[in-house]
Amino acid sequence: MGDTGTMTCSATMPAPAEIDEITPDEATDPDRPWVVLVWNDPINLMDYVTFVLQKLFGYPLAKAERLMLDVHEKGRATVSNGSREKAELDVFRLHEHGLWATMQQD
Amino acid sequence: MPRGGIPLPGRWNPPPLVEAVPNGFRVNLGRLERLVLQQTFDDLRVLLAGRDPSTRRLFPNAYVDNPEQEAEYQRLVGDDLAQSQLDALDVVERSIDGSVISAAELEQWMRSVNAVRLVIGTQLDIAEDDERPARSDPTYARYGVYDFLTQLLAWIIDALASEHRR
Repeated sequence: MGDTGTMTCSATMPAPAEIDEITPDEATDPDRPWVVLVWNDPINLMDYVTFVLQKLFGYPLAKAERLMLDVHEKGRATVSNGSREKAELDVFRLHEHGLWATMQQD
Repeated sequence: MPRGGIPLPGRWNPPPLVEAVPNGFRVNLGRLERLVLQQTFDDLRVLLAGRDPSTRRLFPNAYVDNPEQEAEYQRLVGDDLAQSQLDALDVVERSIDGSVISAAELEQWMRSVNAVRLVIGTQLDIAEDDERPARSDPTYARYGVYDFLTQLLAWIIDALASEHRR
Protein backbone atom coordinates (compact mmCIF):
# COMPACT_ATOMS: atom_id res chain seq x y z
CA MET A 1 0.00 0.00 0.00
CA GLY A 2 1.25 3.42 -0.88
CA ASP A 3 4.38 2.27 -2.67
CA THR A 4 3.24 3.06 -6.17
CA GLY A 5 5.30 6.21 -6.51
CA THR A 6 3.64 9.30 -7.88
CA MET A 7 -0.02 9.14 -8.63
CA THR A 8 -0.01 10.80 -12.00
CA CYS A 9 1.14 7.67 -13.85
CA SER A 10 -2.16 5.87 -13.34
CA ALA A 11 -4.36 8.87 -13.99
CA THR A 12 -5.91 9.19 -17.39
CA MET A 13 -6.22 12.56 -19.03
CA PRO A 14 -9.78 13.83 -18.58
CA ALA A 15 -11.69 15.31 -21.47
CA PRO A 16 -11.77 19.11 -21.22
CA ALA A 17 -15.44 19.09 -20.30
CA GLU A 18 -14.71 16.99 -17.24
CA ILE A 19 -11.98 19.13 -15.80
CA ASP A 20 -14.32 21.14 -13.59
CA GLU A 21 -15.51 17.98 -11.91
CA ILE A 22 -12.12 16.97 -10.57
CA THR A 23 -12.09 17.15 -6.81
CA PRO A 24 -9.01 17.24 -4.63
CA ASP A 25 -9.77 13.65 -3.59
CA GLU A 26 -8.88 12.37 -7.00
CA ALA A 27 -5.49 14.02 -6.84
CA THR A 28 -4.44 11.92 -3.84
CA ASP A 29 -3.95 8.21 -3.37
CA PRO A 30 -6.83 7.04 -1.18
CA ASP A 31 -4.82 4.06 0.10
CA ARG A 32 -2.09 6.07 1.71
CA PRO A 33 -3.05 6.58 5.36
CA TRP A 34 -3.46 10.04 6.81
CA VAL A 35 -1.83 11.20 10.00
CA VAL A 36 -3.13 13.84 12.38
CA LEU A 37 -0.53 16.12 13.93
CA VAL A 38 -0.81 18.41 16.93
CA TRP A 39 1.58 21.37 16.99
CA ASN A 40 3.07 23.21 19.93
CA ASP A 41 1.69 26.64 20.79
CA PRO A 42 2.26 29.19 23.54
CA ILE A 43 -1.29 29.21 24.92
CA ASN A 44 -2.68 25.71 25.41
CA LEU A 45 -1.71 24.29 28.81
CA MET A 46 0.19 21.04 29.11
CA ASP A 47 -2.46 19.44 31.35
CA TYR A 48 -5.15 20.62 28.97
CA VAL A 49 -3.52 18.97 25.96
CA THR A 50 -3.05 15.74 27.93
CA PHE A 51 -6.68 15.70 29.06
CA VAL A 52 -8.05 16.43 25.57
CA LEU A 53 -5.99 13.59 24.07
CA GLN A 54 -7.29 11.21 26.75
CA LYS A 55 -10.85 12.32 26.25
CA LEU A 56 -10.98 12.37 22.44
CA PHE A 57 -8.97 9.23 21.71
CA GLY A 58 -9.40 7.23 24.91
CA TYR A 59 -5.64 7.09 25.42
CA PRO A 60 -4.37 6.09 28.85
CA LEU A 61 -2.81 8.90 30.86
CA ALA A 62 0.77 7.72 30.20
CA LYS A 63 0.31 7.71 26.42
CA ALA A 64 -1.48 11.07 26.40
CA GLU A 65 1.30 12.59 28.49
CA ARG A 66 3.99 11.17 26.24
CA LEU A 67 2.30 12.66 23.16
CA MET A 68 1.83 15.99 24.94
CA LEU A 69 5.53 16.05 25.86
CA ASP A 70 6.45 15.27 22.24
CA VAL A 71 4.37 18.26 21.16
CA HIS A 72 5.98 20.40 23.84
CA GLU A 73 9.58 19.34 23.26
CA LYS A 74 9.71 18.42 19.57
CA GLY A 75 7.14 20.92 18.36
CA ARG A 76 4.61 18.37 17.15
CA ALA A 77 3.37 14.80 17.52
CA THR A 78 1.26 12.37 15.52
CA VAL A 79 -1.81 11.76 17.63
CA SER A 80 -3.94 9.58 15.35
CA ASN A 81 -4.09 8.12 11.86
CA GLY A 82 -6.46 6.43 9.46
CA SER A 83 -8.62 7.16 6.47
CA ARG A 84 -9.02 10.71 5.26
CA GLU A 85 -12.55 10.83 6.69
CA LYS A 86 -11.40 9.66 10.10
CA ALA A 87 -8.47 12.07 10.10
CA GLU A 88 -10.75 14.96 9.15
CA LEU A 89 -13.13 14.12 11.99
CA ASP A 90 -10.25 13.87 14.45
CA VAL A 91 -8.89 17.23 13.28
CA PHE A 92 -12.34 18.76 13.65
CA ARG A 93 -12.67 17.47 17.21
CA LEU A 94 -9.22 18.78 18.09
CA HIS A 95 -10.12 22.15 16.55
CA GLU A 96 -13.31 22.17 18.64
CA HIS A 97 -10.97 22.02 21.63
CA GLY A 98 -8.71 24.77 20.33
CA LEU A 99 -5.73 22.56 19.61
CA TRP A 100 -3.57 23.36 16.62
CA ALA A 101 -4.11 20.17 14.60
CA THR A 102 -3.37 19.46 10.94
CA MET A 103 -3.54 16.37 8.72
CA GLN A 104 -1.39 15.06 5.95
CA GLN A 105 -0.81 11.88 4.00
CA ASP A 106 1.90 9.71 5.46
CA MET B 1 3.15 25.05 26.12
CA PRO B 2 2.88 26.68 29.52
CA ARG B 3 2.87 24.32 32.46
CA GLY B 4 -0.44 25.31 34.06
CA GLY B 5 -1.50 23.68 37.30
CA ILE B 6 -3.24 25.03 40.35
CA PRO B 7 -1.11 27.51 42.30
CA LEU B 8 -0.42 26.77 45.94
CA PRO B 9 -2.87 28.38 48.33
CA GLY B 10 -1.84 31.77 49.59
CA ARG B 11 -2.24 33.33 53.00
CA TRP B 12 -6.01 32.97 52.99
CA ASN B 13 -8.04 30.06 51.70
CA PRO B 14 -10.68 31.00 49.17
CA PRO B 15 -13.25 28.33 48.24
CA PRO B 16 -11.99 26.10 45.44
CA LEU B 17 -12.75 27.68 42.07
CA VAL B 18 -14.13 24.34 40.88
CA GLU B 19 -15.55 21.97 43.41
CA ALA B 20 -16.75 18.37 43.23
CA VAL B 21 -20.13 18.24 44.95
CA PRO B 22 -22.78 15.51 45.23
CA ASN B 23 -24.16 14.89 41.71
CA GLY B 24 -21.52 16.85 39.89
CA PHE B 25 -19.46 20.01 40.07
CA ARG B 26 -19.84 23.64 40.92
CA VAL B 27 -17.84 26.61 39.64
CA ASN B 28 -17.45 29.07 42.54
CA LEU B 29 -16.99 32.55 41.16
CA GLY B 30 -17.01 35.78 43.11
CA ARG B 31 -19.39 38.50 41.97
CA LEU B 32 -16.66 40.46 40.23
CA GLU B 33 -15.17 37.37 38.63
CA ARG B 34 -18.60 36.45 37.30
CA LEU B 35 -19.06 39.91 35.79
CA VAL B 36 -15.66 39.87 34.12
CA LEU B 37 -16.16 36.34 32.82
CA GLN B 38 -19.62 37.13 31.47
CA GLN B 39 -18.16 40.14 29.67
CA THR B 40 -15.45 38.01 28.02
CA PHE B 41 -18.08 35.47 26.91
CA ASP B 42 -20.25 38.26 25.48
CA ASP B 43 -17.18 39.56 23.65
CA LEU B 44 -16.45 36.09 22.25
CA ARG B 45 -19.96 35.84 20.82
CA VAL B 46 -19.52 39.16 19.02
CA LEU B 47 -16.05 38.25 17.75
CA LEU B 48 -17.27 34.84 16.52
CA ALA B 49 -20.24 36.40 14.73
CA GLY B 50 -17.93 38.75 12.84
CA ARG B 51 -15.18 36.16 12.42
CA ASP B 52 -12.80 38.67 13.92
CA PRO B 53 -9.13 37.95 13.12
CA SER B 54 -8.48 37.42 16.84
CA THR B 55 -10.59 34.24 16.64
CA ARG B 56 -8.26 32.66 14.08
CA ARG B 57 -6.86 30.23 16.63
CA LEU B 58 -10.37 28.75 16.88
CA PHE B 59 -10.33 28.00 13.16
CA PRO B 60 -6.92 26.51 12.46
CA ASN B 61 -5.86 25.15 9.09
CA ALA B 62 -6.40 21.41 8.66
CA TYR B 63 -4.39 20.99 5.45
CA VAL B 64 -1.12 22.88 5.59
CA ASP B 65 0.14 22.28 2.07
CA ASN B 66 -3.04 21.90 0.05
CA PRO B 67 -4.99 25.15 -0.38
CA GLU B 68 -7.86 23.46 -2.26
CA GLN B 69 -8.46 20.82 0.39
CA GLU B 70 -8.06 23.50 3.04
CA ALA B 71 -10.71 25.70 1.43
CA GLU B 72 -13.03 22.71 1.25
CA TYR B 73 -12.43 21.86 4.92
CA GLN B 74 -13.13 25.44 6.01
CA ARG B 75 -16.26 25.53 3.87
CA LEU B 76 -17.52 22.25 5.33
CA VAL B 77 -16.76 22.74 9.02
CA GLY B 78 -16.19 26.47 9.60
CA ASP B 79 -19.80 27.13 10.63
CA ASP B 80 -19.95 23.93 12.69
CA LEU B 81 -16.85 24.98 14.61
CA ALA B 82 -18.35 28.39 15.36
CA GLN B 83 -21.68 26.82 16.35
CA SER B 84 -19.89 24.33 18.59
CA GLN B 85 -18.27 27.22 20.47
CA LEU B 86 -21.64 28.99 20.79
CA ASP B 87 -23.28 25.80 22.13
CA ALA B 88 -20.56 25.51 24.78
CA LEU B 89 -21.11 29.16 25.74
CA ASP B 90 -24.84 28.46 26.20
CA VAL B 91 -24.04 25.74 28.74
CA VAL B 92 -21.56 27.96 30.56
CA GLU B 93 -23.88 30.93 30.79
CA ARG B 94 -26.67 28.75 32.20
CA SER B 95 -24.43 27.68 35.09
CA ILE B 96 -22.30 30.76 35.66
CA ASP B 97 -24.37 31.46 38.81
CA GLY B 98 -22.85 28.42 40.53
CA SER B 99 -25.52 25.81 39.88
CA VAL B 100 -24.47 22.16 40.02
CA ILE B 101 -23.35 20.81 36.65
CA SER B 102 -22.40 17.43 35.20
CA ALA B 103 -18.93 16.43 34.01
CA ALA B 104 -20.14 16.85 30.42
CA GLU B 105 -21.22 20.40 31.20
CA LEU B 106 -17.94 21.13 32.94
CA GLU B 107 -16.20 20.00 29.74
CA GLN B 108 -18.12 22.75 27.92
CA TRP B 109 -16.78 25.19 30.51
CA MET B 110 -13.32 23.86 29.75
CA ARG B 111 -13.76 24.50 26.02
CA SER B 112 -15.22 27.97 26.47
CA VAL B 113 -12.61 29.13 28.95
CA ASN B 114 -9.87 27.81 26.68
CA ALA B 115 -11.47 29.48 23.66
CA VAL B 116 -11.47 32.84 25.44
CA ARG B 117 -7.83 32.30 26.46
CA LEU B 118 -6.95 31.61 22.83
CA VAL B 119 -8.64 34.81 21.69
CA ILE B 120 -7.19 37.04 24.42
CA GLY B 121 -3.80 35.34 24.01
CA THR B 122 -3.95 36.15 20.30
CA GLN B 123 -4.93 39.76 21.00
CA LEU B 124 -2.02 40.08 23.44
CA ASP B 125 0.25 38.14 21.08
CA ILE B 126 1.26 36.11 24.09
CA ALA B 127 4.49 34.11 24.21
CA GLU B 128 5.23 31.19 26.46
CA ASP B 129 7.17 32.94 29.20
CA ASP B 130 5.82 36.43 28.74
CA GLU B 131 6.51 38.78 31.58
CA ARG B 132 3.50 40.64 32.88
CA PRO B 133 3.36 44.36 32.07
CA ALA B 134 3.56 47.12 34.68
CA ARG B 135 0.35 48.37 36.26
CA SER B 136 0.53 51.50 34.17
CA ASP B 137 0.55 49.49 30.94
CA PRO B 138 -2.76 49.62 29.00
CA THR B 139 -2.74 45.81 28.60
CA TYR B 140 -2.27 45.20 32.34
CA ALA B 141 -5.94 44.40 33.02
CA ARG B 142 -6.15 42.15 29.97
CA TYR B 143 -3.25 40.05 31.25
CA GLY B 144 -5.06 39.87 34.58
CA VAL B 145 -8.14 38.42 32.90
CA TYR B 146 -5.97 36.01 30.91
CA ASP B 147 -4.19 34.80 34.04
CA PHE B 148 -7.49 34.35 35.86
CA LEU B 149 -8.82 32.26 32.96
CA THR B 150 -5.64 30.17 33.07
CA GLN B 151 -6.19 29.53 36.75
CA LEU B 152 -9.87 28.68 36.26
CA LEU B 153 -8.96 26.30 33.43
CA ALA B 154 -6.38 24.55 35.63
CA TRP B 155 -9.07 23.98 38.27
CA ILE B 156 -11.50 22.65 35.67
CA ILE B 157 -8.92 20.24 34.23
CA ASP B 158 -7.98 19.05 37.71
CA ALA B 159 -11.63 18.36 38.58
CA LEU B 160 -12.28 16.54 35.28
CA ALA B 161 -9.06 14.54 35.45
CA SER B 162 -9.91 13.39 38.99
CA GLU B 163 -13.33 12.31 37.75
CA HIS B 164 -11.68 10.59 34.76
CA ARG B 165 -9.40 8.54 37.02
CA ARG B 166 -12.31 7.17 39.05
